Parts: sequence; structure tokens; C-alpha cells
Amino acid sequence: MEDRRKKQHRKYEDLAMEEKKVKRPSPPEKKHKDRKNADRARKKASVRDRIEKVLAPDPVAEPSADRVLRNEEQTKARLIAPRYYGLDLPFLIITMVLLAVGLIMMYSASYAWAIDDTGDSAYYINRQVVFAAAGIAVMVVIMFFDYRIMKKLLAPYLLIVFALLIMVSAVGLEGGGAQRWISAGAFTLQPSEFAKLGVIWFLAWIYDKAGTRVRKFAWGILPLAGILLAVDGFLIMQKHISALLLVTLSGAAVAFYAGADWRWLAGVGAAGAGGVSLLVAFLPQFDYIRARIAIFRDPFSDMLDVGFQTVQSIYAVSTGGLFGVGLGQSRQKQLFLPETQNDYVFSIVCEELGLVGALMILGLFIAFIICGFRIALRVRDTFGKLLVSGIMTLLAMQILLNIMVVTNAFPVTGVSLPFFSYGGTSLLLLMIEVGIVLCVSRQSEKTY
Amino acid sequence: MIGLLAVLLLLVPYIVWHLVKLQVIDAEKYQQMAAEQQTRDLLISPSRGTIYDRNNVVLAVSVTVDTIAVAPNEVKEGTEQAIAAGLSEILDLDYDTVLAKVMKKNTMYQLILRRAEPELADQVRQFVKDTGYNSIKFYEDTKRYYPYANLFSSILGFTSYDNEGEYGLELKYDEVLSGVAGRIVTAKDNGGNSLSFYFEQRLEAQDGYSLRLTTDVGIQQMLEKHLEVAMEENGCAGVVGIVMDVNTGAVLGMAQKGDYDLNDPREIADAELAAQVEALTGDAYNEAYLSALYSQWRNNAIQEPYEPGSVFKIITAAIALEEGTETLDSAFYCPGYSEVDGTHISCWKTAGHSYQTFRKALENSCNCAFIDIALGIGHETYYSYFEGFGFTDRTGIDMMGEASPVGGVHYHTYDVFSDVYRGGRISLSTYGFGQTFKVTPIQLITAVSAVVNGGYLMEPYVVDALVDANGNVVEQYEPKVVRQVISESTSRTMCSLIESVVSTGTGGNAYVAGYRVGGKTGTSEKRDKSIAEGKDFYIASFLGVAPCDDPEVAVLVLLDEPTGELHQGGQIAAPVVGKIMADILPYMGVEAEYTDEELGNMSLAVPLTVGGEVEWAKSVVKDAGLAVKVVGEGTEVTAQYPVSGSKIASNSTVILYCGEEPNKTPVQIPNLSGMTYKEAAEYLNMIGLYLDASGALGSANSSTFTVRSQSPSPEEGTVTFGSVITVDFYASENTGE
Repeated sequence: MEDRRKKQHRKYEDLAMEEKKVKRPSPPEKKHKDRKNADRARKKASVRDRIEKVLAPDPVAEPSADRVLRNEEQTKARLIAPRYYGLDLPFLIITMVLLAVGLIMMYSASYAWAIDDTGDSAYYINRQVVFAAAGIAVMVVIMFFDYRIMKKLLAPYLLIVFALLIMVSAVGLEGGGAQRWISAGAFTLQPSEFAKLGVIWFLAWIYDKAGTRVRKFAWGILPLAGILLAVDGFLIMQKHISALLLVTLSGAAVAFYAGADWRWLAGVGAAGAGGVSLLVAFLPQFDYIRARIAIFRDPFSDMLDVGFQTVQSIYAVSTGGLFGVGLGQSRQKQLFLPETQNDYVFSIVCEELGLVGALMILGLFIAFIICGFRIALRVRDTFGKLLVSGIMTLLAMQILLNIMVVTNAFPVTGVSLPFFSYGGTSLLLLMIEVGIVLCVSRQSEKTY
Repeated sequence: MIGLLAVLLLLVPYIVWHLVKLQVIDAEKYQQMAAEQQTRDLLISPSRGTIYDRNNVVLAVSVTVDTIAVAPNEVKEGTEQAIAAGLSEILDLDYDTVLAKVMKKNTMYQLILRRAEPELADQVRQFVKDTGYNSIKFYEDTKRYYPYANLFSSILGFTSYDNEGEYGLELKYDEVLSGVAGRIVTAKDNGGNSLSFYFEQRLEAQDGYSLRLTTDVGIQQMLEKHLEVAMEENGCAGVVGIVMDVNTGAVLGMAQKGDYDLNDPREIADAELAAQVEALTGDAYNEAYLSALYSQWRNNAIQEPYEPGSVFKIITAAIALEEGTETLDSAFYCPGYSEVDGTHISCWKTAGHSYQTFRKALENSCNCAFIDIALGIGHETYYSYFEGFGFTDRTGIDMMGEASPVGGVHYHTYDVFSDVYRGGRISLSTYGFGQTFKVTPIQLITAVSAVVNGGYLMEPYVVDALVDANGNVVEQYEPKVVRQVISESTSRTMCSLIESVVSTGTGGNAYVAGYRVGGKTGTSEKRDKSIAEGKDFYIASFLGVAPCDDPEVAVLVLLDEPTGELHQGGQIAAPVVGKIMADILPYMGVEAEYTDEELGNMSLAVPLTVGGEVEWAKSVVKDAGLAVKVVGEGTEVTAQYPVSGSKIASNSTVILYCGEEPNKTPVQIPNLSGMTYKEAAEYLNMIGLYLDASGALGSANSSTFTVRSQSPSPEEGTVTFGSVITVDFYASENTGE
């Protein structure tokens, strides 16, 4: 980043010198031994030509000095000032397509279970559509705010997140088991969803504040360690390993993007991974994780109990074949595959739309991720850049993880698929996150 | 940042690889496994074919019945006792057992009675309707039902609890009868609910074919009736009877006693034996129970070889005539015994038969003559005919478990016959009169059928056709000639010979008025058992053929171990065959042709005259062939002796009372035992009673027939004047072997 900016400044200096007809000392001639150097020189020359052409006086109308000057100023302004791209339309379109496809597929996937659970085949889709509509509204609202006010909103948000985490842990302790949900009247809240955004948000803020100090341990690593310890503690209490994984990795990714010392990150990351592996390997509390890993290796070893979901998912995916059994025609959703409306919508996608359909949706997701990262790359403001890249990393990990679980390319983790899985809180938060990304994109600037 | 994105996107090929693996490479494997859980594969049971007799009378049929069960989890608190009481009363079950089942509250199914009779099920239904105990459940099931119970038990066999053939024809033709199961493959959800709108494929069941047998309920009933009487009268261990169409080999009837109820094959039918078995416990019980069952299921007619005895002389005679080693003019001398290679062999009549012709030798059933005849044939020829008549092979009857004759056990092999030093000639001698080897009843009747039907050994069969559910014949079995053993002319000669065995020889008791019955007696010693137990055991047998001018039917009856006074075939088996013939020949539509003498001995039916005018009544009685006597002065007949419908001897006088009170004096019942027909008729006439004669009466030598039994018997005291005494005549002389 820094290099580029410097180069751009140098370019501007070049132009200024040319204008003053002051010749910069040409680089020492190197007898054209190195072809690369020659190429570079040619490129440079062509850029110079282009600029000269722009600055050249109109051959027809003899340019007045004023006009030349105005042109120069305009050019300078165009080249130096941040450029607004406006709202990132491709990202918005992909988001809306994914949301629409997700709703349709969730409806199809949840159909049989909705009847079985409530007697109403549209039970899940009705609720999801309400949240989707609310989500779109929230997204649009967020889009038109200046995201920088988020710096001010961070403190209250974190307050709410920790309040929720404490509440859910209290309920969990009281109930004698791990609890991830808080019931709030008609619907339930999953505080870990809020926590994920909170961590990214907090890190983006603090690294923005840190500026170049981020390379130092105190500014780069310490905030990360602090927020992760605070949040992960609660997640461990909830036994919510998948959330812990996502929060930690996306947090670390933000630190990395911000320019924190990668050696520290790598070291702590390796140590953490090792420690977690040891814990999982030996603590009896984590028996279920070992069981899931065993199932991942051979799903049919316990196909009626632990492996049931995985095997049923494999059946669904396989039944789809190349072109699928047709929309709405899934047989595995007929109460064979549990949780089709939640983590296993993609199994039904594979079954009903086949390999072709699954790859198309996977392609949409990849486009979504790439567009998101493109926005992050374009942003000049550190806060916005880190916010978007953190959110996109989190979403990308969720998307890929969920699809890997569904195809038994990864042990079962409770990660839902953005846009597809049923769940009001997560859909709402997803739309908020997308809103933030779009908001940042609207205010991003072009940089050369 | 781009680096990290790249790392994340590196997972994409990994995911795509997994998708391709599941959806393309391994898809088929998993799809199949998925299909197994997603579909329900219902078997459609085909209905088992029916078994008909040759007139399409149902002998075995599968009917839908109810299995009654209780769902204890649905039983309402406090109603257990009422339910148990109701069920145990209706179904005749133990109350405590039923209650214990009803009390198993955490179960959903307790079997109360499997395949209940329809009437019982209806009663239980009514009970459920009255009381509202819906925890009593009915499950549809099929049950094999044999309307004639014991009849045909040795032929039909029965099915297992799963409706698969287990014994007899049910087993032999199981594949044909059971048909092909169909399938319905339906999509279903994990709760088992049908999702037929997704997918349903039906493969219709193909019902089993029905069997149409060659047997006949009428003939079988006649056969079994007489066998049963004979078994009882002679205290036999068992009896076997076969009726065969001699020209086709079709089995018209086949039975044995004791038999068992096909509807309850696992119950020991013999009450005495059942009680004995019941007294045992543990392994001894199981063993005894099973052996009792196996012996009651066993079809002795095809499974139990025995020594045929003198019946086999038909075969020896046929060989001799066919080969020309003897003619009808051959003469034999019987001193009462023979010496063969130093071995003394007695004739059954130790006094000897003296000089006899070939025909007389057969009529007398002379062992000595048949030793000579057999030796005259020679071992080589004899053995080839022994084979030719099918005694060394199974007959190939289409029934289950036909015994396979084993050389050395059931018969002497050719080596033994040909080896003089090992008693080959002695063997040949005893073969001549049917001892020292064993054949099955079906082998014997099949061979004798060949002797009388023109010489063709037929393959006996019992299934006439396979019929589909609509009554169309799917496969018709045709009579099959195995080979011609003797010539037609020899066959004709043999018919005349065996006819004279009945008309003038030892088979007199098989005589049936109006029909030319031929046959041969047999009394064989069960040598193996006799030797083992140091006591004589016999099988009395008779093989009858009728009509002898053009044989149609053969009847073989075996009385196993008779314990009565008499044990000779001519004495006890011949009358049974005679009675069977007397019943089945008219049933089969064989015209009776009576001789004058037969007509004279025949009982006539008394017409109804009461209420008619005297003159008219007289003429009616005269028209019926009876004499008439009028008592009283009235013009109208007010009573008659004997009552109309009675059968009386042809020379009897009917008494018509006209106004006068009929004579009601009691008359002491006389003992007619030992009297001839003439004597009995005269005596009864004298004391004012009437004679109705039955039995093998009317043979050319009817003077040798004497009263064997009468009804009512003298012990019963008195009858009123004018009553009819039914008398059974019987050839008392010349019926031994």
C-alpha cells in the first residue's frame, strides 16, 4: 500500500518537474542489457507521452496561458484527489440474487420439516421473508449513512454484545449446560452472531487509531489478544466451537490486514491451534468433536447416530447427480435429512439442482466474496478497509465451511450458510454487514 | 489481503472436487443406498392356488382369516380383566395366559390367537362392538382350509404356518401353487408415510395356479368309508387303499387309516398314541411327538414297501404266459410243499392242492405251482420282467416322497438271482408267490394295471391339470406310457384268469353282483417284523380289477397286522375291495349286467301301497317282482308289511292289510349265522320276517356263501312281525391262500 502511494507521489513530482521543464536526471543508462529495465523504461515513457498529450496546447486554437493552467489544475485534481466510485452495484446485485435464490431454496428445503414441525409448509419461509424484508430495509438505511459514525457507535454496541454474552452464559450456567440462544419473546437471539461483528468492528477501530503503530506489539497484537480472550471465553462456555473458530480467524485476519506483526500472529496462531488440538484430543468434554472427526473420516461407521446427518447429507448430494432431481423434488428433505432449513439447505440445493446448480450457486458466492474484497481493496480509509475485509473474511469462511460440511469435506460444525439458512438474527446481521460493506463502497475512492 | 483471499479461494477446488466425487463419481453407490431408505418395498402376496378334485370340488383353499391380537398399550386402565375374560371365553383360551398378555402395558402387540376361525373372529368382533374395547385388533391373514378334513390327507399334505407347502402335494407343487410375489415400490418419508406422488412402481403378483387332481371326492369317500370299517372290524394297525384308472395310471383315490385332520396336522390324531406321548416329558416327548407326527403324515401307499404276497402271482402268471413257458393247459401238482435246492417251502394249504391246471393254480393261489412257474421262467427272464414292470424303479408318481426301491433291501439284485450257490433259485421260487422282497403299494397296482390294460406300464399321476384363477387349463397332464411289458392277448388272458379267481377261486368275497370283478388275494407275512419279534404279523391284501371284459379300475387294499380271528386276504381284504367296487363302479357309470341267478338273489324295493285300492296295490307289488298277500276285507290298503322302501329278497311276499289291524307280535330275532341264502330266506319267511341280503352274494357257487353278520343281531331281542333283517353273506370256504 505504502509503496504504491509513494510511487504515485513520485509520478506527480515528475509531472511537476516536466511542467517546469526541469529535467530530472535520467536514470543511469544500462546499455540495455536488462530487457526488463528496458520495458519498464518504455512503459514510463508511454505514461509520460500520455500526460504530455493531455497537457499539450490545443493545436487548433492557440491556448491561452489561463486555459493551460486550468487544464493543468484539473488534471492534477483528477490524479491526486480521492475518487468516488459510488455504490458498488455488482456487489449489491449479487447480494440480492443470493438472497432471492437463498429464500427459494430455503423454502424448498424446509417444506417437509415445516409441515412436520408446525403443520404449515410455509412456516419457516414466512418468517424468513419477514426478516429478509427487514434486513433489506436496514441494509438500505445503513448504506446511506457515513460509516464513520460507527466509530462512535462501537462502545454501545460492544456493551450490548457483552451484556448478551453474559446473559446467555448465565442462562446456560443456570440450565446446567451450554446455551447459545436467548429467547426474546417470539424469537431467539444468538449473541455469538453479534459478537462476530463486534470483534471485527472493534479491531477495525483500534487499528485505524493505531495507524503505523500497528506494527508494534502493544497496538497490533495486544488488542487482538484482549478482545479474543474476552469473547472466546464466553464462546467456550457456550461450547460454541464453530463461532470461536470464526471469531478468532476473522479477528486475526483483520490484524493481518492492518499490518500487525505477522510473526506474532503466526506464532500465537500456531500455539493456539496446538493448544486447542491438545484440548480436543484429551479432554472428555470434547469427545463429541473427536466423534465428529471420526465421522468425517468414515461417515458410515456410525450412520444411525453421530454420522446420521452426514450420511443423509451425502445421500442428498449424491441423489442430485449432474442435473438434480428438480426444484422441490428432493426426497431427502422428507424428514430424512434433519435441519434442512438450517445448516443443510445446500444439501437440498445439490439434490434438487444437481452439480450444475450447486456450482452455479458456488460461483455466485465466489463472485460475492471477490466483489467484497475488491471493495476492501479500493477503500483508502483504514477503518472502512478493515471493516469490509474483516466482514468479507468472516462471510467467506462461513460460506466455504458450510459447503464443506455439507459435502463431508470437513467435520460437522454448526455453521450456517449466509442467505440460505433459516434464522432471523443471523439473516438480519448478515444484511447489516452487507449494508456496511455497501456503505463503505459508496464512500470508497479510486486510488492509482 | 489478496494473499489471504487466495488462500480462502484455494478451498474452492477442494469443495468442487468433493461435489464431483459425491454427485458424479460415487453418485450411483450413494443413490442406491439412499433409494433403500427412501422407498418402501411392499411384497404383494400372491394367493395360493386351490386344489380341486377332478370334478372341481374344492379340496384345499386359502381363505382370509383374522389373527386376533391385543395392543396392551391401548388398553384402558381397569378393563384388563374384562378383556381377558371375554377373549378367553370366546376363544376357549386360558384366562390367566390372556390376562398376562393384556397386562404387558409397554408393548404394542400381543398375539392372542393366530388365524382364528371366521365364526370365532366374528364373535370377537361382536364383543369389541358391544364393549368398545378397541385395543383388541384384527390382522388379516390367510389360512389353508381343507373342507374335507381327513379325506385325502395322505395325498394333499398341508402348509406351514407361513403358508408354504410343507408336506404332500402342497410341498410337491409348492412352486406352482404359491405363484410369484409382486412388489410395490413407493417413495416414503422418514416417518414411513407414503409419498406415492413422487414415485410408485408396481409389479403385480402372479397368483399361484390351482391343481386339478385325478381323484374324486365321491370315490375317495367310498374308499375311506370302507377302509375305516375294515380297520375297525379287523383291529388293524393300519390300512391302505388305492383306486387307479388302469388305462391311464390316474389315481382316483388313495387313502390310509389312521389318518389325520389336514386342518390340524400337528395334532396326533390317534387319541391313544396322543395320550402316551402326552405322558412323556422333555426330549423323550419331543422325539415321540415328532415320530408320531411323521408316521401319521407318511403316505404308506407310496412310501412304505411291503412284501406283496400272493397278489404278486398275477405278475408271475403274466410273465409265464407272455413268455410261453406255461399255457393255460399246463398242469401242476401240489403236495403241500416244494423242495428247492434243498429248501422246504410250504404251500399255504399244507394238505396240498393236488393236480391243478394253470387257471386253477391261480384260483387256488397255490404256492407250489407258482414255484414251478417261476422256476420255469428262469431267473434271467424273470428279472427282466421284474424290471419291466417297474419294481426296481420309482413309478414316478407326482407325489412327495415316493420310496425308492433299493436292491438288496427291497428286492434281490440280478446277481443274487443268477447265483445258484447263493440261493438264486430259492429267491426265484419265493418271488413266484411274492415273498422275500418288497414293493410299494403304488408299484404293485401300477404293475397289475399294466397286466390288465393291454400290457402298458403307465406312469401313475395324481395331478390332472394346472388351472389358473379363471378356470382356464394352463397345463394338462397326459397319461404317460412307460413301456409295454406284455402283449394285449396275454393281458386279455390274464383278465379272464383273475376274474375266475373271484368267481370261483379264493377271491369270492370280492364278488359284486352285476359287475365282472377280477382280482387276486394276498396274505403276506411281515417276515422282518415276525422274525424280530418272534410272532407272526401279516398283511392281508386284495387287488381287484373291474370290469374284467374291459378293465377300467383297479383297487388295492392292504390290511396291516389284522388282529381279528381272520387274517387271510381272501377273508378280510377281498370283501373290502368288493364293497368298494360295488360303490364306485355305479358311481363311475359302469353299467351293471346281471345274470339270471344274480337277479334271483337280488333284493327288491317294496313299493308304497298304503291308501290305494286293493287291486291296484296288488298289481303294483307284482310289478315290483314280489308276491302279495291280502289280509282283511276292505277295499283300501290301510297298512303294509314291510314298509315301503325296504329291500327284501325277491321271493318274499308283501302283506297288505285292508282294514284289519296289522300284526304287531314281537318276534325273537333268530341267529342266522352260518346259514346259506336259501336257508336264511326260508327261515325268516317262516317266522314272519323278511330278508335283505348283501355282501358278495350271487356268485356262481352261492351255496358256499353263508351268513357272516346280520342286522339287527340276535342280542337285540325282538322285532315286530314283518320287519326286515339285513344279512351280510360271505364266502366262508376256499378263501385262504
